[in-house]
Amino acid sequence: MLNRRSKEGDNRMVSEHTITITTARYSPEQDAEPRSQSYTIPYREDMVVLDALNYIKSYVDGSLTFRWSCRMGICGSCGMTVNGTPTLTCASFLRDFYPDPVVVEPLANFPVIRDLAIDMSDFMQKLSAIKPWIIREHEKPIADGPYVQTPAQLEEYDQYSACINCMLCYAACPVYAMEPKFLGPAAIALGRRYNLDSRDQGTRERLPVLGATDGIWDCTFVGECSVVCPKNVDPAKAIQQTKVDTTLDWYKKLVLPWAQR
Amino acid sequence: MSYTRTADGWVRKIGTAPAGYNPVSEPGLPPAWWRVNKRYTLYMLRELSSVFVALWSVRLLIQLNQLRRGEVAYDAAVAVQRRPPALAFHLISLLFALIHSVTFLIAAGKGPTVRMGGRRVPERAITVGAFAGWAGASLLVLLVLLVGGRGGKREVGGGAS
Repeated sequence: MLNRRSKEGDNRMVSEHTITITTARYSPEQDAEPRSQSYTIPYREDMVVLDALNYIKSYVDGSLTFRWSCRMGICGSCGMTVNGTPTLTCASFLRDFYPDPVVVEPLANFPVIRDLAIDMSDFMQKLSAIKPWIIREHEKPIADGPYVQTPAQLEEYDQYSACINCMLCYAACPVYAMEPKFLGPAAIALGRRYNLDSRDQGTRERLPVLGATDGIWDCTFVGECSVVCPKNVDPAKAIQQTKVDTTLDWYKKLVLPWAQR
Repeated sequence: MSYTRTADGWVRKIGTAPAGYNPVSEPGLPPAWWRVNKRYTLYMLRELSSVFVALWSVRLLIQLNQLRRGEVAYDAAVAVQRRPPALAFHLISLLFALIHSVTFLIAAGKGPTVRMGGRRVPERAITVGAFAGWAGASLLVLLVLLVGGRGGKREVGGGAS
């Protein structure tokens, strides 16, 4: 679409100010390891980093590869490392860096497929492992109507349901960098989101994954996952609360072995 | 997807990569990762603080043991504590204990869900309450030490005369 209106785009981008964007480049066919490439492009105050990348792709270098979709902080596709911080590039304004150059790299802690696009299959595998959907022991007949929930019951898990799977929290987590088997912040937060949902009955199915050594207990509470989260999900809180819950549950079973959970 | 540990740390291996699909990995963490931002540095200081808290606790246990052994042994232990290296250790331990306490209490809000009157207590309120409790407890300990210290001195002084 940008190519179709390239002339209009060129005119609109005319600016006396410029900014340098340095991006990581990696082509598996040519490069043994990632390299960097700089582009000097017109600068406008209302541009975000994603706009800059799209400008480069449309008018300067069509081979630059990166992911994006909604450009409004909903899809979670455009997460990259901007000047060392995992960020949604659609929500990161160039004016916060101008006139300094902006360095854009792929999300840390993930294998790089090409340029700024990472391989997310490890996250997808972990996400599905915690079964992020409502599990029922017995489904109600449709004739009985919907599962009703009070505002208080919604509030229990509402914060954790805002996760957009952008994986910034994984890129910010030094524990995940050192221990790739770690289930990771977003998967645990989403596991907790469903465990707290009054309509869900799947806690027992999720606990073996969440409560495993590579689950919540790998976390040493660095807390950076919550700092970089663009949706204020606070995965660090979800992990600490799950630690408390599983510990209480363990003691409850120890003291009252006959009691049902 | 599988993982192998190399000399450089863990490396992800893609088992079933299609032709031409050759992702690169940055294995593990760079050595200076904790200097990337202030929060990582504070985290490392928080983790390091437990070492000093533990060492200081061991020192306290040793001093208590000296107290059990009698006045001469205890006085000798106290004399050691007044030497400059020991004072430096106390000062560093105090700083790390403060880091430990502050970071722990900030984190307290992320612990168990607290309810009052059927409503969830906000994280900030828990943290403020924890700090208030800490200040109150510290004040109480200070009062006990000041009052008890004065009484103790009189007693020791009386015994010596």
